[in-house]
Amino acid sequence: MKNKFTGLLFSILLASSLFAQRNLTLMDLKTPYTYRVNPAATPETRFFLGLPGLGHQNVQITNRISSVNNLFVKNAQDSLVLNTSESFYNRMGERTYIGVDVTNQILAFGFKAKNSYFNFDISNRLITEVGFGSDLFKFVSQGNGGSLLGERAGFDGLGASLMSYIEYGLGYSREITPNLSIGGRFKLLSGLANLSGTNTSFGITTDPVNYSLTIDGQADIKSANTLIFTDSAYMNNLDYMRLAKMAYNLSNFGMAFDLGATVKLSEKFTVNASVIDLGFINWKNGVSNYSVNKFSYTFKGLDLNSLLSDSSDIAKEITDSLTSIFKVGNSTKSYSTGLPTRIYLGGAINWNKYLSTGFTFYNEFYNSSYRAGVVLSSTFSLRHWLGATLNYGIYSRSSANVGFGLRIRGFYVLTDNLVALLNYQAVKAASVCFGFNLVIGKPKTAVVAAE
Amino acid sequence: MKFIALILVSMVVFSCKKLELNKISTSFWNPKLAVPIAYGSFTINDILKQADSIDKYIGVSDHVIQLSTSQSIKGFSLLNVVKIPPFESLPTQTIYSFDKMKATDIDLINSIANLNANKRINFSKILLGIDPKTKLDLSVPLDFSTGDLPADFRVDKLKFAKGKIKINILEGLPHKTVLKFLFNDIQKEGKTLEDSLVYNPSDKKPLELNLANCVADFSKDSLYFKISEIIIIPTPSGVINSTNKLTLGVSLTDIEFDFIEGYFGKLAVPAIKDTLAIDQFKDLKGKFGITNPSLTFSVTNSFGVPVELDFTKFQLKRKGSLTPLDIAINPFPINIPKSKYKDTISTLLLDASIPNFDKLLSSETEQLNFEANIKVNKAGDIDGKPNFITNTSSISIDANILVPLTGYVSGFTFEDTSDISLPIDMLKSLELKVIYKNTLPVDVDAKITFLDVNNNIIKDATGAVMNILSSSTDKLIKSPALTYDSDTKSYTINKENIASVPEQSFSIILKESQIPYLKNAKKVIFSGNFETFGGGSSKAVTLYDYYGLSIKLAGNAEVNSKSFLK
Repeated sequence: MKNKFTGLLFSILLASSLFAQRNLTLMDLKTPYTYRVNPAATPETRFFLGLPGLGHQNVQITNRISSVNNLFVKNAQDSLVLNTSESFYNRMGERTYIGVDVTNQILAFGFKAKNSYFNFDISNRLITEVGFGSDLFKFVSQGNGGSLLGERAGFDGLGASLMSYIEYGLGYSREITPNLSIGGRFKLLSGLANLSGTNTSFGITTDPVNYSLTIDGQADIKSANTLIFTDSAYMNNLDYMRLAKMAYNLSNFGMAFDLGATVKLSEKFTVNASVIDLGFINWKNGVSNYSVNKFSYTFKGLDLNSLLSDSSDIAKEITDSLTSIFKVGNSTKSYSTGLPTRIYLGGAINWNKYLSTGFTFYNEFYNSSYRAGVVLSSTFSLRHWLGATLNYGIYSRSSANVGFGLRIRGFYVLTDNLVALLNYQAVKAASVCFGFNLVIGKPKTAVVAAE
Repeated sequence: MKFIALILVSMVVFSCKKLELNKISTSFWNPKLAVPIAYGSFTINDILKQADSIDKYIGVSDHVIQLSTSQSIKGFSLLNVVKIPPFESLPTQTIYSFDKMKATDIDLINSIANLNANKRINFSKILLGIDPKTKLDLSVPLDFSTGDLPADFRVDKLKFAKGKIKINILEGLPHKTVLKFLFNDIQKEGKTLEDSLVYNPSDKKPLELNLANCVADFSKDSLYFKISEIIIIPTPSGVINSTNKLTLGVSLTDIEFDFIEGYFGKLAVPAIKDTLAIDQFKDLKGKFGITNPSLTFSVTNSFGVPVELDFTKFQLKRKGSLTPLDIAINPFPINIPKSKYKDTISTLLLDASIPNFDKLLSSETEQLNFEANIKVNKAGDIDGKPNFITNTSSISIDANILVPLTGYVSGFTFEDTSDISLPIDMLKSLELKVIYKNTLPVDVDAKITFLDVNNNIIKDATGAVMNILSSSTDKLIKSPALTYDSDTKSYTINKENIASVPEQSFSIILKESQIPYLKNAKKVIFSGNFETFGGGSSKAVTLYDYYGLSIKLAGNAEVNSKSFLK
């Protein structure tokens, strides 16, 4: 029982996903919502309807820290101890975080009209990330008195970020020629809450000789409907209806575009490209911003000269020093944030009408950071009512990613990391996505294929 | 199909490696925490002032640190021996005796009195008219050299703080009589002292003259005064006969002086005998020596009397035995102030030129003993240089020991025992680093010893006393390199070279293997010793105020996370 609980805990902590939903398996599985990764993709049904809680539901968790397997090593007594080796921390990279990305579709429908396909989609999006900086775990496990002596223990990016909004998307795709399909989605975004930090850095440098601690950093934290809840005056006059209305009144207005294209190079080769979530949200409502100017403070220990002076108050002296260094400013000025923008570049070899092999090169841009992944997949399709895909991906500093998806008409279930279900200890990311949709009819190509 | 197979193989590979999480160690992990503990920079002045026993003696002269201690020595006062006696009953003074007067003259006087009853008659004129030898100028001899005062004690001038002259008419006339006295040798507020005595046969009230603030000239050893006028106011029944006399009784009493001028002779002043305790360093364990101490006797004098201190004993007491010091200037004359109410200071400087004097201040010195006779007016009465004394005159003697800190220290030990409670369960190992820049000319060695609850010394696995210092043979704190300075005859470091003295360090290390043995540690003894550059008495050093010690303490502890996460 204990092991099951421990396993569940680590599944949550160390399972898969990423900051913005990669949906790499969704790319190959022709569900009604493949347009979420390539707007040029046309569902294999003339009409679909996704109902609340049954349509497209997606939860992804990304852990950039470590898999359980790497977190521990065996010692001489055959016990598992925390891995504190340099190589372990080197593998973590400069930024470590745990991110959760949820798409909760509220309502969606789509229909085919001649060569065009229209879709409309209302979804709730929640993107959160807790960043730990590059050296936090090293600092906690090794302390500052080991390999970090003389080095800056960087906690840049330490802290939480959050973005929550309602997305109203209207999509259109069209087969321009038998070999070219294009698509696009325009999305109005109504921001609910945001917490983001820019130019936020924090570090501790330990002098290798006298161990003096130099703390440096700066912070520019912007928030909407998050930090303002710490203001008692705001809470006393809180209007819950105003918060509820923000789901649709666009008081925190944003918009975004998705664009995609699929080119059939030959009967056998297909390539595709798409850009997802190219847009922004302007946060005006419930804004509470804080900034800490760039600071640097060195603690050299207790000042013995002051200590021996009867009149000195050391605690006050330290407090005064810190007060003079940390200058905190705050404002309620509106601000804009971009969305995590993803670019998919892919291709497929269609071996026959049932089997294809594809690859996808995934790119994500957000807050001046770039994340990438690559996936090789093999997809099996049986007419328009059955599809299955299996893929192998390298992303999130992990090579232990095997994705699987299954579609039976309007129902589908998929994950970007099947290994997480089989051995959660081996993976750093996991996702679960499913949808149950009412589908009617089949597209012309499917009709022809069926005939 | 090959690709699918590859993926499936990958899945098998990834899925195979499973850790047995029930084997996760309960010891957690052992981070190393490095923190600065304290820092400070201390001049030698700061350091010495922390020592309670000597902080009040620290001073600086021309950048050289010096100890100075002053003690007041049992002094003496001439006021105790110069005492003016009261003159209660001076010889009786007869102005006129009527038995010398002819009967016809007496009758004439009585008839004049009878005719002028109740009227004022200038009787002195009548007397002088009848007998020009009538004695109206009087002289009362005063001998000040009574009691313990020398026979040649003489008062030329005396200013009274207090005193009175009392004049009685011992034998008077049968009429009311008024005598007007004039004291030409006594001035009060710049004027001659004068007063009148009113005599009434039925009420013989004496005349009292208050001498406060009067200045008297007694250079003729007498009290002079004159009767400038005798007035009688005859009563009808009063008849003068040949038995009548006019006789005065005089006294000079309650005398306290503001000052006296004169010659006081060879006053007998008791010898002085005193001890200077030089035991400030008696509790220090070790030896130190000072190469150039000095002792200054400062005599502050406001007596206008030549005095000499004739030292009969001057000895250092060291380790219970006495060592005589040969003072070059003996006897020591005390200067005389140029005028009354002024002080003058005479100094007697004793320094290293006196054999054995460098032992005045050392860890073995206990006290300085001395005795001196006091010789007054050794040269006798000198014309034009009278003695004087005021009622505030005093002689005070202060001994000031001044020690420029040029010397040596060796085998100087310190020891302190404290209770401890080490967080052993938390610690895996510990390094306490001491980084210092020492410009003090001292080497310091130290030892840390742990005791258990029964005060037994804790030893390690090998049975050896546990040593947690980085070095057991080398000095922990080392003196900078010094050079010989011929001016001070000592080893010094120039101010310009202070900046280039390098930082050094030592560590206190608790190894992982030592930790278990310290679980029973209940007390810790910090002990050590220090000595000056060169390690002994062969090399003296001078302590300058720009010497100092800057120190940084830092710790790096490998801790068991489980302990502090509890």
